[in-house]
Amino acid sequence: MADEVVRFTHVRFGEQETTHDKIVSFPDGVPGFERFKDYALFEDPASEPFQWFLSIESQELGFVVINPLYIWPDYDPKISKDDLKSLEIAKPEEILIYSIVTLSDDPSKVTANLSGPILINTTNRRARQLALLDDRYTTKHKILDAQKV
Amino acid sequence: MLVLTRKLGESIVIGNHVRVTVLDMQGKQIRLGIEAPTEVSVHRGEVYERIEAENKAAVETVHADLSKLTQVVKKPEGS
Repeated sequence: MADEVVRFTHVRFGEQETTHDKIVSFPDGVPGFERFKDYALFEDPASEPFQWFLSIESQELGFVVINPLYIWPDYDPKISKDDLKSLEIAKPEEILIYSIVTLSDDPSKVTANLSGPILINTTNRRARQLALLDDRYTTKHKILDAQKV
Repeated sequence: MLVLTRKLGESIVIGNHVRVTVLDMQGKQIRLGIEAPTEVSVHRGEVYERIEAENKAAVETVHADLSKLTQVVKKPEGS
C-alpha cells in the first residue's frame, strides 16, 4: 500500500505521480479549503529548500511550505496536548512542522505564516493546520528580513 | 442562524459531543467553556478567519517565480 502509485495534476507542475506514503491527510482540510483532505508532499529540486503541498483532489490547490526552523531557529509554537492527541502523536520524533509560504515575484515580499503552522504526525501522516493564540506570531513574517539578521 | 438565549451557567449542546457553557459575564465580555472531542478544532473566529484569508492568498501565488528567492534562502547546514 505504501508504495502504491497515486497520480494527480497541478496547474504549476502538470501531471505528476507520487506514492501513497507521500500523501498527507488533513481530516478537516485546511481553513478556506475544508473540502480537500489529501495533499502530496512534493519535492521540486528548483524550489529547495521550499517544498510543496499539492492537493491530489484539486489541480488549482497547492501550497509552498518550508520548515520554519530553517528561517527562524527560535520558532517555538505552543502545541497543546489536545492538538497532539487529535493526531495521535505519541512522541516528539513523530512531529513535523511546516509553515505555508505566500509567494511574490519580489523576494522581499515573500512571507511565511507562523501563526498557522501545519502539524504532521509522520507515523500515520495525518495533519492539521493549527491557529496559534500567540501574539509573537502573525500570518505574515517576511522571510528575507529573517535572512539579513 | 439559530439564536438561543442562555443564562450564566447554562449551556448548549451541539451534536452528541460538543457542549458550550456560559461561565462568566463581565460587561461586554462573555467567557465560554467548550467541551469537545480532541479531534474537533475550536478556534476564536477572528483567528480562524486570518488563517483562512492567508491560505487563500498563498494559493493565489503558486505561479510566482521562486528562483530569486531560492538563491538567498538556503537550508541551514546539518539539517
